[in-house]
Amino acid sequence: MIKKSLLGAAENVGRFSLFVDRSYRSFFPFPPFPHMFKDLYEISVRSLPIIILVSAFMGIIMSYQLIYELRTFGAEMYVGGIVAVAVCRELGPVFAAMILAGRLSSGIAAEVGTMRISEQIDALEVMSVNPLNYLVAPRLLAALVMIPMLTVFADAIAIAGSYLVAGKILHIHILKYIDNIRFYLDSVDILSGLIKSMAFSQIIVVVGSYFGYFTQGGAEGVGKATTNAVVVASILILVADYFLTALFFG
Amino acid sequence: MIEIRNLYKSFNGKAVLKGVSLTIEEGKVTTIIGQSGCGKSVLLKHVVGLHKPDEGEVSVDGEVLGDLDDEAMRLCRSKFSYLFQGGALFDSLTVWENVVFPLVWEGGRHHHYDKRILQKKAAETLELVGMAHVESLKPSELSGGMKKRVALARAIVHNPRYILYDEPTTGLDPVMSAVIDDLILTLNRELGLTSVVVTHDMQSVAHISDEVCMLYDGKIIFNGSVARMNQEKNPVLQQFIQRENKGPIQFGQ
Repeated sequence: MIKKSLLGAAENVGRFSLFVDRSYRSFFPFPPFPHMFKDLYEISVRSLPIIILVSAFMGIIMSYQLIYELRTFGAEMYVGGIVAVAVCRELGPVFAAMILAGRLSSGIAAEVGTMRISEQIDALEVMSVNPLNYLVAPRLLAALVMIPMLTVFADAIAIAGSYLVAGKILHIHILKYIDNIRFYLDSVDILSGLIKSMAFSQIIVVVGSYFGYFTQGGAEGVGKATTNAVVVASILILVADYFLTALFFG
Repeated sequence: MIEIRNLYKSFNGKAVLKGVSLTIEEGKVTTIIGQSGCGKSVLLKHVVGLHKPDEGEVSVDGEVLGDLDDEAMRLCRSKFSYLFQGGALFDSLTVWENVVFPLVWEGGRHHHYDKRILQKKAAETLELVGMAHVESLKPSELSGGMKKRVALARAIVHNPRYILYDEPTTGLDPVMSAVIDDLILTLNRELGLTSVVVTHDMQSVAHISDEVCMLYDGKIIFNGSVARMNQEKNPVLQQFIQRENKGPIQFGQ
């Protein structure tokens, strides 16, 4: 039983690795821009409202918690710098990636999975079109461009949200707040966050595509693929975050 | 000419094809009949390399599919069109975009054509299958019969040499089935397309076939003309074509 499970897990890891390799090799011929436009729009504009909402609340709640704790030490004036560093290094990229894993990995798995069970992927192959070049490569590129941009946006919204609370409770002037952020926030904090979000963007797309591509068993199979995509993408994001954090700040 | 030699295929330990050999001659309509789930579609997918055989080989115009590299496979597949059971139209594209898809992505590469030229070509091809004025609809807005006809338009738009039909009349009303049968015959007689039709619609078989093969228990048990099929004494074949529930084919087999 254990041996069978281990073999099954090893098979999945091997198949996933081959899928990733084939997906990146499928980049050429380069996907046409009009073909990518739908994915760019889906990833950016359609994800923006939820990113704004979650980031704003993240900044607001963090600010409340920090002010409450920092008051003990009389250090509540540093709230801006602490929020900015935490958000840009860690919380912005990870929160945005988690939300997008829920939105995009599941969406991609459902779409590609439905194409698999309705033989649309077979139809592509019969027409000599590489399904990975048609379905995965444009999304990988679109995500690589758009998810870091969304992360920058998420960072900015979270910091603005934190100011709403800090400004109201501590009566800090906005320029002083920005000055405090500039003092503590380094370019490496922003850069590491962006590099993380690039890595997360690829995990989100490739995991969604993988589970969709190997969907079996009709509508039930699509449901399972969708759920698995979100769970595995979320886990891989956290694992990748650990290694990238160790790389930048270890 | 398509030659299938001693083909074996299993899925999860269950043998589906057990040594199928068959020659599909150029310019003819060959139908493959057999029970549901007997491996007809699996056999058809081997012909275009969608499945790889466990043993045996498929050759198209003398080229063995298993020996072809990616580029040669692309060239080989460009000779084919495949009408899938459910049409397999791309949901995200409109009808006209679906129809011209094989032209836009010819040889697996995206080609830029004038949109008006493509729309005109799509309209002309849709006209051939009796589906005018649906160009701007999405596949989800079409009925089953309409989807099959649009898929047929997509299948013929790039003038293939071989066209494979996977249950083209299943789920259609008798009139629509007759329309599809006539289209298959017209494409074969007027454009000279070699056609392979997988079906268990015996009226269609009688109407369109030059050659009939019956697949049973993973093997071809009959191969010949419709006239020969009707005279054949094989009890399995007779039970199948006479629609009888008693005989060597058991329910659930």
